Amino acid sequence: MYGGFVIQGYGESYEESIERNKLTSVRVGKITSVLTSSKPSILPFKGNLPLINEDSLDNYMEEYQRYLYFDDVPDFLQEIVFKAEQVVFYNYKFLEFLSDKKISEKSFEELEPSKKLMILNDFLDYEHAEISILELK
Amino acid sequence: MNFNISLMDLQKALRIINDAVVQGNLDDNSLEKANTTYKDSIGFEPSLDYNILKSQSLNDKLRGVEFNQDLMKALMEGETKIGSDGKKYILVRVPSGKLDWRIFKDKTNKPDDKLNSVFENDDFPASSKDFKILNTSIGGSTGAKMVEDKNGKKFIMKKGASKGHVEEEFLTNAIYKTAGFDTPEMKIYHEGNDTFILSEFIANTKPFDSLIGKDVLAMDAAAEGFAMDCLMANWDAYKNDNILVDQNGIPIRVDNGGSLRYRAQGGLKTNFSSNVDELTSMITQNQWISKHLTQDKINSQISDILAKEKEILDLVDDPILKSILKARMVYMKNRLPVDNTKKPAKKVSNKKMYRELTEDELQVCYDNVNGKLHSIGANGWEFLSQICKLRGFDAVPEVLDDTEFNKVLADPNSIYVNRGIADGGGVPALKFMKDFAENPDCFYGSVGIHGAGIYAGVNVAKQNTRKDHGYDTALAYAYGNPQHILDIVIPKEAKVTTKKKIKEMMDEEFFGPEFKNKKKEFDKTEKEYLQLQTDLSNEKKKIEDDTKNNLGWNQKALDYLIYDRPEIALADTSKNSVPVVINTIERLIYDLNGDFNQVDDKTYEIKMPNSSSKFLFNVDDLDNALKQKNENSPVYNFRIQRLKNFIIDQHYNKIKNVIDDKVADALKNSSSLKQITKDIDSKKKDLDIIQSEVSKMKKGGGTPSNKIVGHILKQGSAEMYGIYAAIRGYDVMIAEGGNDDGCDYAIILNRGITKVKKF
Repeated sequence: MYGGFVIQGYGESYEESIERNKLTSVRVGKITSVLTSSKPSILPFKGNLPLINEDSLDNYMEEYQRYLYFDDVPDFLQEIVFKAEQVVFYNYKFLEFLSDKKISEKSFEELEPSKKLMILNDFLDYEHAEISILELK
Repeated sequence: MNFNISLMDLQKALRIINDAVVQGNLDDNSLEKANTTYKDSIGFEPSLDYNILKSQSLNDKLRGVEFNQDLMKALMEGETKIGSDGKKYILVRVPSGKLDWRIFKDKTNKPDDKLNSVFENDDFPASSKDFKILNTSIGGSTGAKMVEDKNGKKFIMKKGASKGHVEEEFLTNAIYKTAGFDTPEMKIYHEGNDTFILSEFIANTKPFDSLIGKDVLAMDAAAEGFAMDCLMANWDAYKNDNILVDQNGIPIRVDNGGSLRYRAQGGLKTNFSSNVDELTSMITQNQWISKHLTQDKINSQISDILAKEKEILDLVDDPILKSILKARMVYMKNRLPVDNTKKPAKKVSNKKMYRELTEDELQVCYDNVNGKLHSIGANGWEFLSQICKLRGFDAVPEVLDDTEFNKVLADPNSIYVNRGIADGGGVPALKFMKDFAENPDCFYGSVGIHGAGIYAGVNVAKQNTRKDHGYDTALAYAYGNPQHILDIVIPKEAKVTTKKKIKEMMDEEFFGPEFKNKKKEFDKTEKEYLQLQTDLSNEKKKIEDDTKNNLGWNQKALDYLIYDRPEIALADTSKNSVPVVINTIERLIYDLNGDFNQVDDKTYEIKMPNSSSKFLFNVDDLDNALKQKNENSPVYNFRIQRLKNFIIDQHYNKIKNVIDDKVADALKNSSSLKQITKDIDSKKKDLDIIQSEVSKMKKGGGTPSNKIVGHILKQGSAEMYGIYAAIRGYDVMIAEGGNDDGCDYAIILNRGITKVKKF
């Protein structure tokens, strides 16, 4: 119906991404790397993870392949993509945020939980976002 | 989860980090940073007494005198200070509970060392103790100062507007130097909270801006760095005395503080992205330069930069900055005409091409991408590109005229594929087509759901007709332009496999034949399960489509609201006059069968067809309604945003709610839907049982033929199929499964074996 985030491909402008993302293989191709991970991001996303079991990945990919245009993909498969896009979108935003603060991904990972929480809180403030962005529903 | 952090929590966090540092689990930089964060969080400004206490306690420590612990309690863990011996110290709480100063172990020196080593700075002062500031302010956007060391050697000291700013300027200089452009020799220093650069003072120079229009040779010389200045987004490169020209006419880029992500005055740019728009904007803003540049010269400069790509990127530690710089290089590369003079990869013998790759060879490829199998660079998937180069798969294909092409195509064992290409990133599709056919550097793609590689639709009919799914898919990728489709034939001698076979090979290689068979059973059951889910989805879709038709769902208008983002597109009322904005909104509401009524000369009342709620829109409110989430996000008009939310909520969400109700009702009452749901539950149970058997068999661990292949097999991501196929020496992998609208894809790994129809 509607949902998801506009994930921009390598060197793509926002407008080009919208156009290209109409093709299923393009849209799905941009999020495959997070589909089978139980920790797809350094952000603590909550929900049923991994989004697709590692053993099931190919079967799902073959399902996606049946549809040239993403609009035609059955809703239960679209929803997986929306969630993955949520992960990719906010993960990228968060990495950008850390980068601006000169904090590497590795040093963030190594921080004590309360410090991580403080940084996460700053990020949500910066993005004017609610904690619910981390819930994959 | 509660995110309100109390003062106690913060103190506790600081103490925990202190303990981790004392136990050696965290470095001193973490404690120093935690101290700064803590102070910022509580708004702590150190008083004079506090600073005196810090100095006295450290001085006593250095003199071997025990300082009064009761007084020291006022200090916080993680304080740092340069001692009288020029060394940096940090205050830690030792296990006994006492606060104690000790030498700061700076782990972040590593990146500095890397960058410092770019310059000849061995004779630079060791610390700020070793130079004095002369009373000479030499200007610059952020107040550079002249300093002098003990030997009378002069330097320029720059602190920038912030730590980040000065660090990025230092990195910029290191990149310029590495790329072969002159900058002063320099060194970066971190002393407590102070970060600064010392840069050698170069006498007898002239500011470049004073030579513009006067000294042709100097202008020529400065223009030689144009592409580099664009890459670095060094917007002010040619302004003021940011370039100094020495007595030999050599331009020295001395002030590069407005490069990469920062502006000259230290603010962050909002438009530093993968697009190097500077290639045009910097010409517009520096009109003199167009007389000193030709497109050939720019292309040659870009080629020179690309030749140093690895050395440049190796200097950058920040992953985001690195990825942007990398993308900027790709952007520039895409602007280069295909270099026909560059030697294409040599055709290698079949024996060499299809040999078994050794563990050492794979290790080199692996190391070249720092173990990141998914990473994407100028040649697309980098690891795949490495493997393919190793095999000689990156050779340019043969381009055949119609007659010759058709001969190869006529062979029943050849495979015909179409690759649809669209303009992208400002680069015309034709350029991408030429890249495939002629560019010695093969681009291996960056997006794909079946495996890394170059995708093309399999044209089963061997005719360019829309009835063929492969051609139709390529046409969709080419945005409907048949001229933007590459016709490619894979000759019969190519080693072609299928994704299914590759998958089985991977399963067998890692987990053995028994697992392979169990996995087959799992796949069969899961496909049946997914088919049932699809059936259910199709049934729901019928209800959805009927409801949408009845209640006036307009997808085009929704796409406009979501993707064209009117709150951003119409935000600037200086570009979009109020009548234009009102007219756009009015058309949108009419398209949705809503009501758009003028209440008075300034106010409009908006109603959606399936809702009784009203939205009052006052044109005066359009002014002063601009907002920006943060400095990197676009400006939007929050009044238009509210109207957009109203439309989505009162129109689309209302329809969505009706659909949800109808679907819930059908699931409860329709016998066919009840049966599908029941079948899904039953199939899920079967699937879960087989799934647990598959998992059990996997738990025993695999036995890959070598370490790198093992790493690939463990990845569990789709891209790995293409990589594995290339490692095993396949030219092309076919991902079958196209039916309905989709097609089978050919994932090309060996470009050199394909034949391309002349275009």
